[in-house]
Amino acid sequence: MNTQASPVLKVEGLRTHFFTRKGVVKAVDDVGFTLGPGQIMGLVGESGAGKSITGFSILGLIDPPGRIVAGKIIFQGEDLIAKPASELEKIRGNRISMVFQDPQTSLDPVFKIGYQITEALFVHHDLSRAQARDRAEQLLRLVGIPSPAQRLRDYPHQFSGGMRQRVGIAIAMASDPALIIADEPTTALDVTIQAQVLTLMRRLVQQKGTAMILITHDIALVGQFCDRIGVMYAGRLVEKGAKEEVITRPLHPYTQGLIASIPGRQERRRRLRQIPGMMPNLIGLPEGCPFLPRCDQAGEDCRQRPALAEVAPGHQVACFRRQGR
Amino acid sequence: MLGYLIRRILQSIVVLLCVSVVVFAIMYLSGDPVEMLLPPEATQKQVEELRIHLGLDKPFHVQYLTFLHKALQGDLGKSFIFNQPAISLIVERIPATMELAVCAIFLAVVIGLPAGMYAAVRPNSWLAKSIMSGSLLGISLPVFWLGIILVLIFSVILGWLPSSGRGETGLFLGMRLGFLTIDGLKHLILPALTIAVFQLALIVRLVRAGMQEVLLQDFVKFLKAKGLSENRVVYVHALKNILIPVVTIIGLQLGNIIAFAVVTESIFAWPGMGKLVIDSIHALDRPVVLSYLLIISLMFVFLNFLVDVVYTFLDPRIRLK
Ligand SMILES: Nc1ncnc2c1ncn2[C@@H]1O[C@H](COP(=O)(O)OP(=O)(O)OP(=O)(O)O)[C@@H](O)[C@H]1O
Ligand SMILES: [Mg+2]
Repeated sequence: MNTQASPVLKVEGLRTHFFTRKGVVKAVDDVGFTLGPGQIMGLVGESGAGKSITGFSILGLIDPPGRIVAGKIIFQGEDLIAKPASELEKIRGNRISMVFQDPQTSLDPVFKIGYQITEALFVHHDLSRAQARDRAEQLLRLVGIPSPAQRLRDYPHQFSGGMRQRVGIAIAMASDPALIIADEPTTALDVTIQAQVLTLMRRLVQQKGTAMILITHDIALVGQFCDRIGVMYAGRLVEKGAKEEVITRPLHPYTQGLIASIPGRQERRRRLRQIPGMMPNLIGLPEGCPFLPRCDQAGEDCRQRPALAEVAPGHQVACFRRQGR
Repeated sequence: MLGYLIRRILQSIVVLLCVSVVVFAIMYLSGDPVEMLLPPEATQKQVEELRIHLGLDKPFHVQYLTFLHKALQGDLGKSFIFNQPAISLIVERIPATMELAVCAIFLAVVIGLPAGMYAAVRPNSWLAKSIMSGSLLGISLPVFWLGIILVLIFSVILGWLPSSGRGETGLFLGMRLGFLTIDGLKHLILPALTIAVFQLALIVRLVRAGMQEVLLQDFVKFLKAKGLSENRVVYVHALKNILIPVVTIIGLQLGNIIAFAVVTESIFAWPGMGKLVIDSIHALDRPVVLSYLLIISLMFVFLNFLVDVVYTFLDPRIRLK
């Protein structure tokens, strides 16, 4: 697919900072990527790397004390950062939608499922009650919920976790968005349900040509379901490229660590390991490479911050060791 | 549901029994009503006769059992003072107190709910800050002082509103209610306001705290991600989520207001139950005090039941059991 011609989403130099009492948390610090129609990009990284904040920034849902301080978010040719709140409301849930991590808490407990789906339809479309109900029923069927007409009258607590996540996906798909941001959509589900839900999402996305950002901390999932991978560390993208490239030839020491720690890869069994150390505090991060304290390949030059640079066609990494310096 | 009802009814019976024993004992111990009823120059014979007539010559347990026996037949005794059935004395005055309590709660909710929500949504605006300081003041002002100050300002200085009694009343479903006439309404404003201020402050604080908590939840962000406007998220979704504590407080406070209307009723010479009961306690008029407390207990039980039922409408996860 030619992503260069008409990308659905183009993020450039995105910086989202939180101005807390203790200091500035640079949760997202110079992140950029491009996503074409029908593409699925996996955004991986450990907890606190800034994956969710990247997603919320795209939707314009950063609450104070957070603020997008720089960058461009070009969605279908328009810069979302420049748009007023009322314009963003029309885009959210309509042309860009989001699936949340925890289906137990992402639906309003005191409203019926049917209400929560049709409500999303009414805000964006001129529909009659009957039309909205039909569409809601159709959506539930689409995500594989049995006897959808009856289930519309149920409350969230009457669904299992997996079923609730399907409802969340149905709501996200309601207006046939051009982009879906799925923030760890299966982390709260057990393993068999995980695969079902992700397979479902991939099928729906491919049918409609929807682009998707799949946020996860599980690089194995990304290998299975994505076309492209972005690896985040301490608010920055440290490596990105086509899935096969990154999985088979990881370049950044952090990515290498992540891949080596995937359990069950026979050929690497003996080398299964954890990355030593912890991600640094995002307040007052030192100037240089954020991975420096945990890196076994670091040199003197790593005290300066490495930028992403292409080292193979379509494969970029932010590490001096791989950039031939 | 049926099991729930039966359990609730049994509980109420136990509560009423306990209340009756305790109150009966307290009244028994607090003195001899006969001395209050007869003039000081009454003869010993007159005293004895009255005592026998009222059944006060018997030992405590006999007196109590007699009372219980009659109570079960719906007879709570006659007032020693008015020589009328105690229950009808009280029932006559229920509308006055109820009217006051309901108006006060109504005022408190109608103003407190939006004010509390606003304070939660725009915590940094000057209006929110004044709402919160105001509520702190409202919580700490003593009721009697507030009543007196209101009278001073609106009756004495400005002369806009009357300061005592109920004024003209209209008949509605067999009850005499003041808000049916202009004059009655005018009389209602000051006492209702006196009671409402504390309740209003309480509701504002409760709503703000509840709202702030709800707004941090995941589903609020998901609702925004669906493209809902902030107003819809706050005034439809978050509102329904905080109604449970609000309804609880309304239920409890309505009971409290009715039970503690005494202070306000005294200030404004409001002819409600509270005033009757204070007078009856002074006169050791045992049947009236007992009937009053039993009615109040029954009302608390009923309000709690009502709150439980309302819960099931507000939160689908709650079932009566
Ligand atoms: N409201 C906030 N105030 C201050 N810091 C915040 C706030 N929200 C997020 N952060 C910080 O931003 C950083 C990135 O958070 P984010 O939620 O994007 O992490 P994540 O990569 O999604 O992690 P996880 O896998 O745990 O979801 C974190 O270090 C967090 O401390
Ligand atoms: Mg996250």
